[in-house]
Amino acid sequence: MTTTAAMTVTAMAELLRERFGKKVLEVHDDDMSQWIRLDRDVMVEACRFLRDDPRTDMKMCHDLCGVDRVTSFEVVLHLYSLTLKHGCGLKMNTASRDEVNVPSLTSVWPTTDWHERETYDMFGVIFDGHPNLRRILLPEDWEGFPLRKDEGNPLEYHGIPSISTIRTLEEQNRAADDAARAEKYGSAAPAKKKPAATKKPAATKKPAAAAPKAPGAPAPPGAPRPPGAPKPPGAPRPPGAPTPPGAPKAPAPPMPPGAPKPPSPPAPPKPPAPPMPPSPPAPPMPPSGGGS
Amino acid sequence: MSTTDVTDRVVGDDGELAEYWVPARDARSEEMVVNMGPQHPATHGVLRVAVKTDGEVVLDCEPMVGNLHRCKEKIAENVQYWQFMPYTDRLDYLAAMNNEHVYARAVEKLCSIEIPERIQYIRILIAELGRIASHIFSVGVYGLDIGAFTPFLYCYRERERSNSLFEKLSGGRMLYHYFRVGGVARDLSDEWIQEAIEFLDIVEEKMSEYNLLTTWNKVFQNRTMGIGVLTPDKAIAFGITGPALRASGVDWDTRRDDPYDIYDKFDWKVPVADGQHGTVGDCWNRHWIRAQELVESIKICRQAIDKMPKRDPALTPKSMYQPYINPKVPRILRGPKDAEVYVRGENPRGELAFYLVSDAKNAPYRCHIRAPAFVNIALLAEISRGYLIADLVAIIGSIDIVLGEVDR
Repeated sequence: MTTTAAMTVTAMAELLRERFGKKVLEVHDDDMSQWIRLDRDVMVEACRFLRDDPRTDMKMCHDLCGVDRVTSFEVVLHLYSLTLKHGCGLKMNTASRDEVNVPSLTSVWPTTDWHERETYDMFGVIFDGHPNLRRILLPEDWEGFPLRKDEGNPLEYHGIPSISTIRTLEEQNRAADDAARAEKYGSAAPAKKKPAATKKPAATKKPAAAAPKAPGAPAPPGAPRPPGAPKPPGAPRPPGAPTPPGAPKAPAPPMPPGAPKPPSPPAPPKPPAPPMPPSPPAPPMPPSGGGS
Repeated sequence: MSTTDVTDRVVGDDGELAEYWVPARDARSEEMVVNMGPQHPATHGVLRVAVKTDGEVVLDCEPMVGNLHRCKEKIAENVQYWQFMPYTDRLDYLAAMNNEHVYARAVEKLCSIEIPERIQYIRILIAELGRIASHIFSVGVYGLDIGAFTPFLYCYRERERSNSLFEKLSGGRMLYHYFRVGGVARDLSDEWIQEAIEFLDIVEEKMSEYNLLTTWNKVFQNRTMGIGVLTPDKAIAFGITGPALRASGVDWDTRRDDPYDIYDKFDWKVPVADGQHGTVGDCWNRHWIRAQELVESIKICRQAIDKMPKRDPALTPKSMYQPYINPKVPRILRGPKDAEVYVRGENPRGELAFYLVSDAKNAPYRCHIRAPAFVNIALLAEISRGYLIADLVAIIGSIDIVLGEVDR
């Protein structure tokens, strides 16, 4: 009898082809992975067949998860038989990124209940016929589906800024600081309009040879590398002081001169999210009874 | 659910347990919803259970997870394959070595990396020691759940030893990062193996102590026998794995039935509940399976130490900072194009599986973690309807969840 022997996935696909014909879309069977891609219309029936047929006997649904396949979402199941000791993967795709409905398999294996909720939570795949399709890991009022590849970073959640918002704020603060410093000490950009003689650069006393070049300027041939620019005597120069034309170049301040940075771009807007699925049915039980 | 259903369930099918449950009939008053957790000490972390009660009787309950969600699957898409290894420690943080073992195997299958034989033995030894450490903790903490403080202290005495043992090996007491893709962090020294043998001796000797304190304790048995009965069909339909599945009388262990690494070279027995004590599938049997698995893991460890091949000079790294791995592992791991693997392994709490989809980059395109505790805790409502609230705690403890794994 062949009924008690483990089957290859190719043989299983033949069984399914006998029954569902063209609805078996793709079969993959190699050392790395073994799976069958089915049309989502026949998925529930095929799963019931694989579970109940003594030749396959897939009593255990090990796992169900989603994968973002750019044009659509893929729902992947991994089935095992405890008696025949074989297994296979099953796949079905949603119609597109916007039409995300697939049939629910909770009627076949009750274990898929939470897996489907998680897939809905992470990818927004709607499982038709699921008794309780709500978010499971993320909060109920979370917007967006985080494992989608086009999902941006959220800006905040209930007033708690996200890391991208914090980074944007930091950048804005830094730009404001730089602008304030530039205003206080003068900066390179507006200084060009001011008369340059207001501050006699102390660096004129410096030997020109020791002056380092501005970063990026080609070093003149033969000029020795300045072994650490000596500090100009006298009052310390404010960073970013204007250099009069013709004067030897002062050592560039270590920090970029206080030119205000270009205004930081606003926080990256979230990409246009696909239309939110209809709100899932209300929980059967009030979740917070005591609310202690 | 009608009231009579609940009463029938409380009494039990065989009538033998009825005497215990006579008070339960009178323990009913009116329906209300009570929140258990997320700070409840008996929920093993930040699990919140909304319980619909009628007096002391649980009519329905719903576990609400996600308080410890740390976006592991998203992180995996943004770090390289080897960089995700320390994150797997934080899944089931009581058995971090076993998580790493499964993840390392998944990446090795994806990248077609061979493992030298000595490293295979080291991995089995470490994984089984991790199972012992985890089961010791589970056995002890289950006593704590249902009100016995002493077994927890006794078991933690040995858990402390295993923590020190792993600390000598990896530097961490709970989160190890010892496994590497293609090998392990460092070779086992002879002194370390001696200490491991001593640890195994001690655990073997103390097993009778644990069993006296918990398994054969009459109070413990009254609290756990016949409670939370899970039938084999339901266990399979709900995807239950690990000790909970075997406690329901299903003879299945991935290590034996779908052997990975070199588990087929060892001689041990898979403990399965046979109904000699208690009801098959009840809390007591789940506990008893764990206690028996401890002994079986000790057998595997001893065999692994005995059969471990000699050190191969070609494998020995040139510097102490280099990992002890197959030298052919490429410096940058890239999965093949359009490939995927689904690799599962027997963890102390059930079958952990990693589903990796690769798109020829050095990070996975998709990494799904099939966490056993996530699947097992989904069953809670099914097996706790009709029991008392105090039994609900016993049932949660017997499923033995770790919230790091449930929420990922």
